[in-house]
Amino acid sequence: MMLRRMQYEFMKNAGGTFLTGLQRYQAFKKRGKRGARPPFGPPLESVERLKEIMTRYYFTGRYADGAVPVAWVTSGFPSEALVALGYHLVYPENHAALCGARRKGGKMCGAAEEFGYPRDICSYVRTDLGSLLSKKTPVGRLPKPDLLCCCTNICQTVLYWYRALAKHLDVPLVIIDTPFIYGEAPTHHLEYVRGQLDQFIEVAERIGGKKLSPEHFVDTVKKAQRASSLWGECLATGKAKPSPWSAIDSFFHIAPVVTIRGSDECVDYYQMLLNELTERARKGVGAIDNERHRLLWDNLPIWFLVRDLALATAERGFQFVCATYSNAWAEAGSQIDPSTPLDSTARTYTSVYLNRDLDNRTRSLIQLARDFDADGAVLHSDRSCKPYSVGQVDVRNRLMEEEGIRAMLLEADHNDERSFSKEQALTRLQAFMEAFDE
Amino acid sequence: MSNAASIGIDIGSTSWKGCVVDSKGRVMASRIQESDPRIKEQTARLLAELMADTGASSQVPVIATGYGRKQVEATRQVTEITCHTKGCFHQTGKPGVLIDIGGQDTKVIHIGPKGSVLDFQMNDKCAAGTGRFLEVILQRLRIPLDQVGQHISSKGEGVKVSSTCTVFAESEVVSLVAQGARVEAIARGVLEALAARVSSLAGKVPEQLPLFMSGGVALNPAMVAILAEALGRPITVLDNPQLVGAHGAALSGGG
Amino acid sequence: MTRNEAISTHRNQRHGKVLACFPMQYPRELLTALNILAVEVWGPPDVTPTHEMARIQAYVCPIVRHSMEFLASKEASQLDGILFPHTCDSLQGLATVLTDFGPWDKPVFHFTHPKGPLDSPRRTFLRKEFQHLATQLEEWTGETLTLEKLRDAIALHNHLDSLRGTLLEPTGQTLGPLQYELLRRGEFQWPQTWLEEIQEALAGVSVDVSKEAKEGGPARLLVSGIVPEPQGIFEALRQAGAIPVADDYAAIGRRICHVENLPDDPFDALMARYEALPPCPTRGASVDRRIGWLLERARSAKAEAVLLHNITFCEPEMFDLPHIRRELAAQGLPVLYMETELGGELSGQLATRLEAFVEMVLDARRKG
Ligand code: SF4
Ligand code: SF4
Repeated sequence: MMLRRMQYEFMKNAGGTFLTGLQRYQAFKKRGKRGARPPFGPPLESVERLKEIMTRYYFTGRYADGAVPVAWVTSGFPSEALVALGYHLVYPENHAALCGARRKGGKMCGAAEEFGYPRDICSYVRTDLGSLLSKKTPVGRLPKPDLLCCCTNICQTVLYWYRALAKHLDVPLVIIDTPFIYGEAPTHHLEYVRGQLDQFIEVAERIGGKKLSPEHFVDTVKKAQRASSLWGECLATGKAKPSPWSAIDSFFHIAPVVTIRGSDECVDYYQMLLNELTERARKGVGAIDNERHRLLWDNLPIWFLVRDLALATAERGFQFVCATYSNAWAEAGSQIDPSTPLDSTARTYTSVYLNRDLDNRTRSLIQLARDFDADGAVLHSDRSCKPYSVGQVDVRNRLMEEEGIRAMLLEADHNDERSFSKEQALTRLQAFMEAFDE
Repeated sequence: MSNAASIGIDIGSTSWKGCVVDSKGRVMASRIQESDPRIKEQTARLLAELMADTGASSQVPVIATGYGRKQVEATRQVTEITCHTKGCFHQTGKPGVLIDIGGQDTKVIHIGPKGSVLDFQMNDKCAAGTGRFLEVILQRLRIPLDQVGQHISSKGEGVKVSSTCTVFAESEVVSLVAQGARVEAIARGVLEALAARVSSLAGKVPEQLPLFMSGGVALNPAMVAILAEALGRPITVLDNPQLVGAHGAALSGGG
Repeated sequence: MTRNEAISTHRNQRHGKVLACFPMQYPRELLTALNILAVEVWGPPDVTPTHEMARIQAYVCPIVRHSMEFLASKEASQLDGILFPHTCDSLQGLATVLTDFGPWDKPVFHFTHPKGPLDSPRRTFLRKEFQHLATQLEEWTGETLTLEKLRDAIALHNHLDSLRGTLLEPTGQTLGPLQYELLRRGEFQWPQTWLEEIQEALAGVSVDVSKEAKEGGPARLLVSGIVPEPQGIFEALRQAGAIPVADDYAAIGRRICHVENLPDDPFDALMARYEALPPCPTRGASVDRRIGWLLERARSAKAEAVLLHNITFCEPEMFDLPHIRRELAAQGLPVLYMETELGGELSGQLATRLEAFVEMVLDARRKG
């Protein structure tokens, strides 16, 4: 135990390298295709630091079990209490995305299908269960959980997913059930979430073998909030013309606010990123050479396609400047009130983007498009993610009819490249872009 | 007096198969022909030939299987799953896992120690993982199905064909060709994609169980080899793999 | 009586409102007590697709896609409001598209059931949710919900459930299309009328004594899934040589919750009935509970195999599949999984699969 702990601490402070999808994406951006000069601006310097952070995060994970309590959590789980209790957190969605970006998604999904999970289950779930069942992961190893924590604020799918995990791993499961908000949340809904939070903290304390210190908790909440707001500021730099970074970059830089929010490291990172972006914006350095049109991205990234997308758009002077996906992590931040940490946590996590009605979501999407002066939108219609995708047809129509923003639905899957035709998708995208210049 | 005990016919989407067996279940005569859309006529004609070959009377029971089994008059109709199992067990006499890649569907059947079906899987919804998939895509590459063995590159040299949906895979192949990928490398990729699909259908096959294969695709050594790679185990191709279903149908005649 | 007749009878004779109710669980007792007719929307199976259906992507389950079409059609004008239980992501999506982007402009109600085991925060919440819905419906109808009315309605539904249970088993009779027709009539029938219809049917039934699998008899199946559509499924089963003997369809068996001794307080009684519901993934029941429940059903009905009949793209059902398959098979109960659309015919491929499965089950029976 002691030794394990020392190993863990050592890894936490040491570095290590492994190839991430990010590295490939970056290398690709530098190199471009077939030696031609790539249409991208100079790469972000913060990337090096990001790689370090994420490498260390996954590397430490290998030594976490046995050293500290480990929890597997959904991306929308109110994880501050776990952080304050010293848990090492694993985010299966982030892990799945990493597999997807490395184009291992389809293969891992296949392993889950071999076990008998049908193909129409969300591909994050299949990727992760496939990784668990085949014991293969690009990060070497994920630590075994002592606790599974699932919050239904992003979808009900995670509920089924974590039940399956509990079954495979035989580990206790905490469910924080956040009723979907139509309009305003009735008081008893928020009280319900608050009640579950209290209960969850008890469980987490028991399993973690430690009491939650209120100061430490508030401190973590503040840091998490700080990280979210900084993230929001980073995103906002994209309003500059040309945009100093692209929404596709942000899909990678989002990782710390998802996985290590509540830590100093996370806050420091976004401060650094913000400085760099502000500087770039000031100097007029863009993410692509010749920004002619600005696009909004809706829904999850198509992880296995980000490189192709970046190139296909950049070549024609199109740039993704904002994304509802990245923005969702900034929106929540401002709502946590350290003076009532639990109540505001309950409210914040219940009101996340995906847990609100379409009217609300559409208004925020349109606001985003206006703020970033986007003249086009690509709505990724993700066959794996129903909560994000249902309603997009109407959203597209509203964008076109009421906002005069050209919009297209791009049908794909965020992680499983097997039910997808790259050529068809890129051809459609190209046709969409050609229409701008007619 | 003829020895003919029963006749089995297997009316598949791509070919018509039939055979006559004696009381020991041995094949006395058989026919394999490309399917004719006029199922009834073709069946009547070939049945007459088989009867003439063996002297079987019209009293001999006829058991029909295959997707066209309900279109013809027969003593009994039995599904392909049961028939392939019977035909396989007659040949091998042991439990195992039988893979049959047919034109319309692919089946993976778990055969028990007494020759019964313990469990089976079939591809659903689309043609992914079927003989049809192979045919469509290879046509695009202008490779005749039976010669694919001479037209594929060796292990590790295939390009990745990731789509398993026939329509998507077809468009993927078209664009690979347009990008100048070698036809042989694409062909290998296609076979590997099919093997992956079948292997996911098969799931985890217990170590000790042998793998068998029936159906027309089994005549294609290249495909069998790649499938064996995907499953990580050798595969025994049954004798007359195309006839296994019809033989099994004939063997169902007794009961 | 057809759905349209049930609606007009309710309007003209009981002068009550008509509420479209979505799958799967909602406190129907409250509706009955407030003289509201529940008309359930499970599709409907046959709709002519127009641009309305195209508003929902093709990878979403047909219940949701068909409902979109249906609710935008003229026929839906007979309905006064909609109740959406929070069953799954897709349905929640429909609820918000329909109200935020039209064409639905009449009242919409939501019922959020807690996910996961009913511990204390969940019990508190559920109770408040019942009360919240009750208040909203009172305002809508202008009726007052007296404890008396509610108590009566609960008793009525409890009785109904016990009769439905009898109709399903264990009298030993196997389930045929007729019983299914009667069981599903409740999706639009006024509960009191439905109760009388079931009573009548039960009185006329001569109990079939073949409780056991018998030589030469059909294969006995436990059927589970969402809803028995397309209706050709029963004919396909019959042709394949099988018959359902126990039911766990979400639309039917999975909603029966008879409680012997109802608590006196009506809200306690609602809670008790809710708790007695069979496990369902949409409410977050654990896989093990579901498996245990299916085993128990199969054993008491002497089922020889299980048919899991899902609707295409219905995710909640899919997660349990590999576990149910493994664990039931280990108990000697083979499982066949199939997915269908709501309407149309069963494909030849599916029919073959059913047949092969039945051949397998019957062969196993012969070989003991
Ligand atoms: S991708 Fe969508 S369905 Fe899948 S876990 Fe995330 S929110 Fe849920
Ligand atoms: S069938 Fe499944 S996906 Fe469709 S509404 Fe019902 S629970 Fe949701």
